Amino acid sequence: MTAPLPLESTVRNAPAAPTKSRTSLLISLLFAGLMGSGLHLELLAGRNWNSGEIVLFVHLCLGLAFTVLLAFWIDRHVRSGLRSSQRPAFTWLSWLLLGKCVLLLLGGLLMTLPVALYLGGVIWFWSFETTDLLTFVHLWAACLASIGLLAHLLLRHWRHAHTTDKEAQA
Amino acid sequence: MKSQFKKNAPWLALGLLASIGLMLAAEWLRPQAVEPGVDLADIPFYQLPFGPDAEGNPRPFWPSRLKTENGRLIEPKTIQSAAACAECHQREFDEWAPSLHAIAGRDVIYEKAVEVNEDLHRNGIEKARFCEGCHAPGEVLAGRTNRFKSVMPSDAETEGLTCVMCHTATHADPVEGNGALTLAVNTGVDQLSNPMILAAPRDHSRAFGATQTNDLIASADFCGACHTENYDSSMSKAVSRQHVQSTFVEWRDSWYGRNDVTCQDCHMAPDPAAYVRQIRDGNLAKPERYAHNFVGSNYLMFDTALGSNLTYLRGGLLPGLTETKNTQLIERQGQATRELLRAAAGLELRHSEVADGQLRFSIAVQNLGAGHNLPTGVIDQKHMWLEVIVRDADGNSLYHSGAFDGVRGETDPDAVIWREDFRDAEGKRIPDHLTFITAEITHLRPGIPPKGEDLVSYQAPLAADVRGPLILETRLWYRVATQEFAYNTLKIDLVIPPFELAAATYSLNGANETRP
Repeated sequence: MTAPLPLESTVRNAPAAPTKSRTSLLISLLFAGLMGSGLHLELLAGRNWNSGEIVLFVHLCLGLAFTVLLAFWIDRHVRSGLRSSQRPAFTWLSWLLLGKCVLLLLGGLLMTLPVALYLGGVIWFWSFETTDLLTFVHLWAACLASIGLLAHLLLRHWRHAHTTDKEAQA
Repeated sequence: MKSQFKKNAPWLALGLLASIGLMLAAEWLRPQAVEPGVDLADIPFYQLPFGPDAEGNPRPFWPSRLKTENGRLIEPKTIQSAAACAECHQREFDEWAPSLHAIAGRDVIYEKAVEVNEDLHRNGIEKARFCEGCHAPGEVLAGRTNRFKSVMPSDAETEGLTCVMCHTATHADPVEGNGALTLAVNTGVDQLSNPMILAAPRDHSRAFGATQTNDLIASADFCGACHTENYDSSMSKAVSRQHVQSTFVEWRDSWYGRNDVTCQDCHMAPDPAAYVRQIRDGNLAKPERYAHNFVGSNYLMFDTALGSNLTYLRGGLLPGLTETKNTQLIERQGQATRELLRAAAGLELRHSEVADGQLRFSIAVQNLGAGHNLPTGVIDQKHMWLEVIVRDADGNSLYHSGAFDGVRGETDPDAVIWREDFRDAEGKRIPDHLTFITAEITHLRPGIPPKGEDLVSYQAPLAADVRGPLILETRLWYRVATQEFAYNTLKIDLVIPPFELAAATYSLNGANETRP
């Protein structure tokens, strides 16, 4: 899982390529938009569902765009990240974040499956209990993923030079 | 600080702020929400002949106690037809569609009875809000129960007790009855498109009345609001309150009420007769689910032998049904109705003797399976009688009480009959359900309470040369309406067939046979 630690590597990663960087920024933007609209759906839309419809529609569109972008971007990011991550804890937390994202997106996609089928002319929907479970998973995976993303962005993935030197001496 | 965070933080903040901004903008730019529903003043020519309530507020639905949560009338086009609900809830629609609830407002027998009543009074149509509040709540709440029809009809209004009429209830008063329901039908429904409902089904169910509705509609209180009917001077000539239907109280004060066996448990069980038998065997477990079939006692509305007369009596086809499917659903529901009726009653010979040239015997008529009196409901029409025949060893009839004339549709007037009678101000019996001129309610024989019995004694003269053993045939019959009602109100040549609830044959020597 963790790549062999390159002892001579005490410098931070080289700057990301501009395209990759723009994609990640767009993903961040969409993630925040989804979090905001999702919280509205969870906490406020229940007061008046008729006005919540537009927020739900926006949430669905953003969610689909986020899923597509993440799917294309994540593979390269994981590969380069694994190469450059020097801290096993960071690597594990990142895998955990990825797991939470998969859970979040899978829950969301499963919730939109009846919509897709309806638009395709088939009427089918989850049982009430399954809907409750999917909503629960989607909500809490989103909360955990938000915390995970902040941790992912804030935590160092490189080691300080003095730590590396000590390890090298040992 | 880590460069990735520095780069992403503004975008995360921007996304969050943008989404909040978008929602606030949508909220601000949205046209000012108008109070859902229609103001009383906006219904042209709406008549209020009964005046305001004690606080001076108008009573647009009086003499029905039905009301909306926000006090406004409903906009018919915003009320979903059951056919629209069926797009997703097909199973529930198929269960509900053949039920009496679905045709409560269009059943021709009911419609004709209302028309006859309306003609009895200057404000007859407005007085009919009393009937329509339970039978056609959509009509009443939209303001169509008015001598001047200024509101357009909609599918939902023709569907009697359609989906939203139950699934938006927020309050019920089962003791007051007369439709004492409060419906959040203006405020408690969503207007989401189907894809959006499918994307957020939990919130769709939240919109439909939330927890207070779900708890209420699962309770007997909810049913009691309509299955309790009291007459007073608002809708009749009664000078004191007359109890016409007391189904809720009968249940509440019974073993069933004390053991939390509710209306829904029996009448909404997937197989009501099987559930009643389960209860009779002492197993009080709840049904595995509640079906929307509302199986009751009106077997006539499922009698497919009536052919096209049945479609006529049921008021035609509901929106969303084909003739073939309608027939198929009615047959299924009819089977369940007949089985439920047969699970309700029993007969038992308690005593017989021959003395002084007289045969004396007593029959116990038992309420074995109904959680309310037998019969219950509109029992000036729905009635029950006992037929007994005593035969000699050669099969000759020696005594016959309770015979039914199948050609004229008349019952032996000397039969033992369980029925209530409407009486006018002069004390004369009203056989055809004329509520608006009823002054008093009396009972020929009151209904048999749950788990109770009524002991009926007979005495028949016996000739000295009668050859035994004597055979006693007993049948308990049930009929949903009197023949006078069919002739006077429907004005059609239809003999309302009786239904055999229970039968038993006894050899007065000891060999007995009972059914069902």
